[in-house]
Amino acid sequence: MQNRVVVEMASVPQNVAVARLLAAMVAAQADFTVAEVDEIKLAVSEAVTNAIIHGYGSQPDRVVRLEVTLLQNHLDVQVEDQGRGIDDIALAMQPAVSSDPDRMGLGFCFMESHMDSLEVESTPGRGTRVRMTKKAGSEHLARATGS
Amino acid sequence: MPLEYLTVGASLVTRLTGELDLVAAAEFRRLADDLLDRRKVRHLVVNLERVTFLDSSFLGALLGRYKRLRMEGGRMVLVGTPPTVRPTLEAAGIYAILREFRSESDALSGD
Repeated sequence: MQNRVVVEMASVPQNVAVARLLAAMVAAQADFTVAEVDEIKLAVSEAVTNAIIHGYGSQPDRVVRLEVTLLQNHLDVQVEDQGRGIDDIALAMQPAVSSDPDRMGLGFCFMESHMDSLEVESTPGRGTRVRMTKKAGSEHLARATGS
Repeated sequence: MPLEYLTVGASLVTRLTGELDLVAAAEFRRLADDLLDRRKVRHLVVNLERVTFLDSSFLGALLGRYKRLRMEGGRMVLVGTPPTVRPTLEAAGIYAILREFRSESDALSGD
């Protein structure tokens, strides 16, 4: 199965659900388990939330771009904003580092722990691009080989 | 987000349904803070039985209310976490700070 979906959405909180459901629907076309699809949903939810809250400071009239590509059993998800960017990516990716006291700073942790790979590119003042990949069945493979 | 709630004595019981993200977090925060501000309730019982998904936005809203209640001498507990969302709560260390009960009545009586 090969598929690619690209969506531009308004930076409103309601689109966090739209983004994760879209990614889940594409993932469901490959051999991902239900648990793996749940992990993809969580990672996408975190990435789009970051774009809205941190990238755009909750301004609702900006654009979040989501690109989901499926190539055989590999899912590639990219979430991009043209927001304020991240000054120190390494610092932002640490748990419990958040610019908002009511948030836990777990976004990047969840993306990292639920996907096989995570890349973050950001230019302060220009925006952020998060790219995550996951291979169907990698969980079982890891368990079987004890790694 | 469908958010059902009732007050029992000094406790606010919230019954959440479906997928809890940024949208649900804002609604939950608004409801709980409003009732706490007006001194209508002092304790919070969060029923997660019908929740199918939750992310760090909702965890942040939970933790924020926990911090507030702790400062104000109130209590916050969870009821009925489904197996699908348990790993997310565990990863966030929620069970280290919040007690979980099997039912709302157990939570309200503290057994």
